Amino acid sequence: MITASGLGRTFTVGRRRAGMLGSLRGLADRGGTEVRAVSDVSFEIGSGEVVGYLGPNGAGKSTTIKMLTGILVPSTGTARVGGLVPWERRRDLARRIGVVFGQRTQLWWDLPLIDSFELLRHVYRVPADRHARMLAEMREVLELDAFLDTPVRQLSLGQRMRGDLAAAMLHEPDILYLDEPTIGLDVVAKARVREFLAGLNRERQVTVMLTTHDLADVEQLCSRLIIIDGGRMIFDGSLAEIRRRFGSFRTVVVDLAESPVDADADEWRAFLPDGAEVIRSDGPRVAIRFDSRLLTAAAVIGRVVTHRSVRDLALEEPEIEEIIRGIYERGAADPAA
Amino acid sequence: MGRSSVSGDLLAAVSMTVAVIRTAFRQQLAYRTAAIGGLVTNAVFGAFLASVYGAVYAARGDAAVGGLSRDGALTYVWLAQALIVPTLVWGSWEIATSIRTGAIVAELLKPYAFFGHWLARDAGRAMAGVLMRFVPTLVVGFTFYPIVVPGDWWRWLAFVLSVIGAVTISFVVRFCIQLVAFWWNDMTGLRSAQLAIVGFLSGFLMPIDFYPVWLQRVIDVLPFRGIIQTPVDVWLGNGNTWVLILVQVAWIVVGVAFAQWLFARAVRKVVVQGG
Amino acid sequence: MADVRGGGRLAALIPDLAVTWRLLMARLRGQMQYRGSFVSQILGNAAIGLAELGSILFFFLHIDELGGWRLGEIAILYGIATIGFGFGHLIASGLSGFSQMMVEGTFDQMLTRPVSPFLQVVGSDIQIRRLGHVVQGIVALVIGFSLVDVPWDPARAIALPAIILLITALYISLFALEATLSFWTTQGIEAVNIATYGGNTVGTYPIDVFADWLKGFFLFIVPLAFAVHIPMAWLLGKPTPLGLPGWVAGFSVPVIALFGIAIGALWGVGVRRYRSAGS
Repeated sequence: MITASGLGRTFTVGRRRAGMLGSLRGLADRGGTEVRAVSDVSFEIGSGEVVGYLGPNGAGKSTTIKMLTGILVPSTGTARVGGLVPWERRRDLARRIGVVFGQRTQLWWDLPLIDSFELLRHVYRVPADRHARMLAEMREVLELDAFLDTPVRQLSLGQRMRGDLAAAMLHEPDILYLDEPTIGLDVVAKARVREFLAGLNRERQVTVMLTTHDLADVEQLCSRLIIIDGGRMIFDGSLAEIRRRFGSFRTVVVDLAESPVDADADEWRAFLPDGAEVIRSDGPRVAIRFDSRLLTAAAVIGRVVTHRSVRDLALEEPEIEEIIRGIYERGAADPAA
Repeated sequence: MGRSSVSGDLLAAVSMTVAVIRTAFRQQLAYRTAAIGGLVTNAVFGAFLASVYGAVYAARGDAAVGGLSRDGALTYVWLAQALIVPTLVWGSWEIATSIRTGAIVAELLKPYAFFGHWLARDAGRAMAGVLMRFVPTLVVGFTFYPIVVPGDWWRWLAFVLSVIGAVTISFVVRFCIQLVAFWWNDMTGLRSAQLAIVGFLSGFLMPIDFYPVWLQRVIDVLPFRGIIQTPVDVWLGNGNTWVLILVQVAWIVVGVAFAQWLFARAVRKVVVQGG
Repeated sequence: MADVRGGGRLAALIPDLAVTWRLLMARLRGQMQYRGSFVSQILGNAAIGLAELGSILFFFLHIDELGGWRLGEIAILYGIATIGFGFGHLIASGLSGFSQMMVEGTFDQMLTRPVSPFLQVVGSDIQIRRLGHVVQGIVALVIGFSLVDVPWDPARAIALPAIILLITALYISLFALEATLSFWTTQGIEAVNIATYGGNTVGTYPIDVFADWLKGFFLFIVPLAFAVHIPMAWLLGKPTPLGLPGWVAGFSVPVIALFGIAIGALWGVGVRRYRSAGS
């Protein structure tokens, strides 16, 4: 459905010169530096996949989405979305995609929600009966009836987001691009949005490409993750694969019977096996992290028990958040946390 | 610390006023590149209107209209353009915006006179306007058109006084109109109405010499002609210069008193109703 | 990198215009909620217009004709020019907000929709108070027609609304030019302002009244003379302005059309540049 090959986008950040004279001079000689917003991004997303597109701020996520929606023409590379080259067939493609920006609504501010839906019907030229059916479905699934007649400016953030999601789906697009759809929402609203997206994907095989900073979104929705940093792809695979490749560490937390004093890391290093180390200690509670490729939990626990008196223990899986942060910080090259 | 003296208070007030004026002045200077665009607009409109008045007088064989000669009319065109920015004859809206956004409440809590503070700000702004727009516009007009220039040195002084009067009267008018924002939420219609009425009565739309005589008499007793027509008359030596300036002063006194009264009522509304 | 080539784009025009109409009506409905403001805005605008009209009438207390045109003729000229400006400014309401749209990312949103981005910008706003200019123009026309005997014939009857259309088209083009410049610079818009508001001033007087360089500007650079003065002189049975031969009037439509097309092309260049250079 979405194929990107070697997509690249370079911006020349011209020096903004002050004043009228400066602007005139700026027209003649732009000067400035070249910024590689995106380089050599390639992936293939099949119909019905839900892909998380992650990266730190400024990594090139919005630039990629702009190229895939046809807003921006790439400097290098090519792409096909639904068989069309986005920047060449922008208008035709527009009918088949839906876009939701978390920060910026596409609804009409002063008008009741229902009016926005009606306007969009005309914008996308959706036949009245199809639109009515889709609207009825959206109303039910997203529970819009309570505020259908309310002007958009009076809606809460959660209600507005539900409105935006419905609006994006009314013309039954095959592909949905979501830019931070759960940003600023409370826990209940987030759950609702995720449920809705999961349902969409299940029932209608809508291909979803979702950028987010909320890793819970990722865990609950995305079968696949693409991670971009500094304009380059540093990972493309499943969540499980991430855990496997980068989540190679686990943590065992022991509650010691004695010692109110914090554990001395050096002391512990002396008896812990290689590949295990104390990362936290809080009085009697000590957290030991170990590389699960080198050691088993049993081995670590066994060693600890021999040297200290343990009252209780627990095993922790690495949070996806930690893993991904680790990837951002260290790059895909060094996966060890 | 003992009781502060009256002269001490006065000194403090004066130095603060000077500081406010200076800040407002510098603030405007920062926009000097935008001023160039505005200057071009002034110059082009000056050229348009000079053509029109030239044709009007040509149709009369260059005979004067009332006391206004052809060259006097051309001078009027350029003076009026030059005075737009210093007098802000089209209106200013900072106070109204402050009222609408509620920022005004913070200002009302500050220990200075609201009116005086905004007057000082306007003064600084007007001075910058004189420097950046008034003078250059007149220079352009003078370069290309047969502008009349005052001969006597005292007339220059009178002109400066009349411009100070014009800016002050304009400020009082703008201040009072903006206070309406305390009672009415939306000012857009009022803004247009102000533009129409003040433009018509101040001599900005057209020299008052062109109006029917009975209308001129009415306008002469209203404050608005002090904003544009009076400075022009003083520059050209039309009418009785010092009487005109005295009338400006009289209207300033009345206007300030009215503004204070209106302001007191507005504050009472805020305090009683919570704005 | 044209998208929906040639014929396709033209075929999309009618339905796109229909959508634009709906967008404008929706926006209008939104504004009418604030009824008090709505009415006061129209009244305020009418007040300005009537003041301006009054000032021109006052000229004629002192003269019989201006540039060879009598009061009634000038009133008709003023009326037609102002009605055209009013309609043009009204329709171009959305274009005035364009530079803001680029900054806020609203324009990007428009690019993801299957409607001409230009028409979406036009459809984004309507400032109904600009009809005040039309009201003012109608008042002037009433005054003018009561004072002047226009040599009416079928050609002139059709020409009157056509001239208004021509003037409207010119002003829409000028406001579009102003918006298009936002693709390149945030300043320099002032210059186009002079052409639009200045044009409105110049359009209300016979063009022969103005200095040579102004005449040249409004004939060759911004073809206001072709939209207003030349056709109106013909309509009123007056000699063609600027000493031009009478057949020049026949060129009004193509000149204005070409002007509009040129600016349309510039807009297209601007959009391409925006999509190639980013922001």
